[in-house]
Amino acid sequence: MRKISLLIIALILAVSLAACGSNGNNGNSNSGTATNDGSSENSNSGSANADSGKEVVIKFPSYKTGNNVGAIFFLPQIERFNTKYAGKYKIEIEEIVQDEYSKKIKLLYQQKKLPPLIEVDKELAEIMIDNGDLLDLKPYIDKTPEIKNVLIDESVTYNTDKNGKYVSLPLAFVRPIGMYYNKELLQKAGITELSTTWDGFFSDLDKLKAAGVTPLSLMTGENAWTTMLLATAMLASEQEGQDILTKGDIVTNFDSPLWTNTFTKVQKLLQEYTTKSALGATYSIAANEFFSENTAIIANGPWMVGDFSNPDKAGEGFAAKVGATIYPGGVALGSSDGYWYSIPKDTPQEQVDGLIEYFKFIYSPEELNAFLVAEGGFAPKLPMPDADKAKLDPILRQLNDEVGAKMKTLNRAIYNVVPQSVSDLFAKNLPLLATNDMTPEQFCKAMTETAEKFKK
Amino acid sequence: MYKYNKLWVYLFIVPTLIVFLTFYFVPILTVFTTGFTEWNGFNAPKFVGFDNYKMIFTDDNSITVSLMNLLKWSLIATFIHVPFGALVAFIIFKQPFGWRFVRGVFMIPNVIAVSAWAIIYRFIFNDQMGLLNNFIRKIGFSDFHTNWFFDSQYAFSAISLTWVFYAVIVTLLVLSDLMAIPKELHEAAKIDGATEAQIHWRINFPLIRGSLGTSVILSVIARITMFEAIFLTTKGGPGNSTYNISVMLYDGIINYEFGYANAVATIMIILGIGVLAITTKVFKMNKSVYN
Repeated sequence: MRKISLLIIALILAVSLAACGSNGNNGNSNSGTATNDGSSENSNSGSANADSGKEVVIKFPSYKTGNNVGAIFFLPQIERFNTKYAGKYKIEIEEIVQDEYSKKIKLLYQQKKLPPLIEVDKELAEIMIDNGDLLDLKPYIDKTPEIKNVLIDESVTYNTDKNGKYVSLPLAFVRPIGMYYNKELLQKAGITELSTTWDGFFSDLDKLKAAGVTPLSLMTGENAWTTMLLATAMLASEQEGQDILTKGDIVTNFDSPLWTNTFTKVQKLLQEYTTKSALGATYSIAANEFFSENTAIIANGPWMVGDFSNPDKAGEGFAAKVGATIYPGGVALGSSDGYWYSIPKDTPQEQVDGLIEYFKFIYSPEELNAFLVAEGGFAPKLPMPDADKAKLDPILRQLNDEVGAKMKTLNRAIYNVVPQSVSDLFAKNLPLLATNDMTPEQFCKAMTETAEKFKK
Repeated sequence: MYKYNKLWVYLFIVPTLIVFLTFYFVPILTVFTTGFTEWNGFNAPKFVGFDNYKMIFTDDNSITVSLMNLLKWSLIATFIHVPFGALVAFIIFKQPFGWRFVRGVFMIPNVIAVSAWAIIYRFIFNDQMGLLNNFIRKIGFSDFHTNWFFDSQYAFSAISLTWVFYAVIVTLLVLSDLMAIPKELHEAAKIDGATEAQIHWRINFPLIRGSLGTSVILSVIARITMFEAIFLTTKGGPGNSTYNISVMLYDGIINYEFGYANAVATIMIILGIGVLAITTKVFKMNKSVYN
């Protein structure tokens, strides 16, 4: 009896394991061939579509949808593309929130089910480049002068891998990140223009404080964005820091006077010049302090400008009180380096052709200028016509003028040169820096330890 | 006839066995084996022996901090959370006025997702607009300012407060055991002149030790796997004040170190088994209470 029982149990185990195994295999082969099948299906349908002159549908997820500030320009642009290429290509957007986008792309890559157009972060891009999973855009771009002629050389270099392939669409524009200030609050402190030196800037902060105005909107929650921008600007004001940011290599050692001095200043900002809410504040809290005129200055990119006149976020007439400038020392943040749109290797040819047309469309003079008018920035190889300049929001125009008149260096942000683990730790440890529970030296040491831990 | 019955028994076990193997055994095995590999989740795992464990135990103090925080939270779970849930059960058992209402209200937090609670608590403990600080300021401390989740002095306590008094599972387990105690036992004790305290101490407590043990196991294991309440509020900070082993696992994942993350997961499983074994022994859960 015991033998029979054991036999039955063994049989059940074998059957279920076999079932699991076969499921796994099927799963794998399905996911493997799902892409292939899908690809071939898509490809076939694409070919059939192309042959029969039917519309090729290109569907991909994007975070520039819904409430995302990027949706205001992006979705109508997609509509304009679809209208222009009606009957030939049609882009369909799958809505996804920004925080989930990278995770979704990572998951789809693991499942080998990537959509035809993706945006990848640096870490995933490096894995995909090593695996040769991104389509080389160079042959297409070389054949398309409309794209090639507007690309920024540094961006082309950045997006070229060791084999000379273009792994993502290089940028044709730069959007400098600066600071926005409340002119009325500055006036209250007797300041007409923010100083162009760091010593002067700190003196301006003191004047604001003396006038009863909280100078800065800082945050330590989420990714501590506004605080990180000021830290980057201070780092970029030193030659050594500028070299680190320009080089763009991932930094894993922060035990140096450069970093310690930077975070000593950040500590001062957190302790003396910001709101009590900064401790643990998310971006929305920091921004709200500025919109509510509780603070005089906030660091952020040009994409924020639209919010100044958004009645859901700021009071009526608030935008008229806002001025824009870059950081002391002639520092602006932003870079043409970075990966943007990539096409996975096995994307059907018809979809690739459609996407190249899309790239051509977004880099056409009309579209590129419309984008810069809407979201700020400049395209070095495509000067903006006066008619478009006239359409610029006054704050964006001021920012552009400040960039033109004062900018000495345009730098990457700290988050572009540190591992993800350090970015996370930065926000996690800032409260300790603010409450004096951690010295700048300890702050830097902790970043070094974390960076070393996951160093490949 | 006996053989025929046994066959049916096995047939009834098959679906459970398949579900167990597919959804528990195979994933656990995968976690255990890939804990010995270097794996970024995209390429094939590469066997690296005990490197991940070496990294966990020697690279920095993450594991020490995580285990210390786990120990503190486990003690809070065992000596505050479980006793509080049991106390509520004892009160409800006496069926005082409004006991049904209390039982219902006590149940509410359990039907709300932990992630939603975490966000609610973020607002409760917020310095500017938080319920707690506004209350403190209203009662006379107008200059009071503390950002509970982001002050290293208070963050651990703030996280603990997000779960410590939500003990309805403990209450239900203990209550069901209390209700299962034969009334004759209590009546006999009263006839013998036992006081209320003596009845609790000599009869009730020994007879509910199984549910108390189960409650301790569930509560401590919930501390090992506690993630949302931490991640959505402090992310383990400030510094390492609220860091735990689940956040450590997450750190491995976001850094594309799936082998490391699975080694951490293996440690979590081992800790869970340890909790199970110790609690079973302490509460003599493998012995019948009525023997």
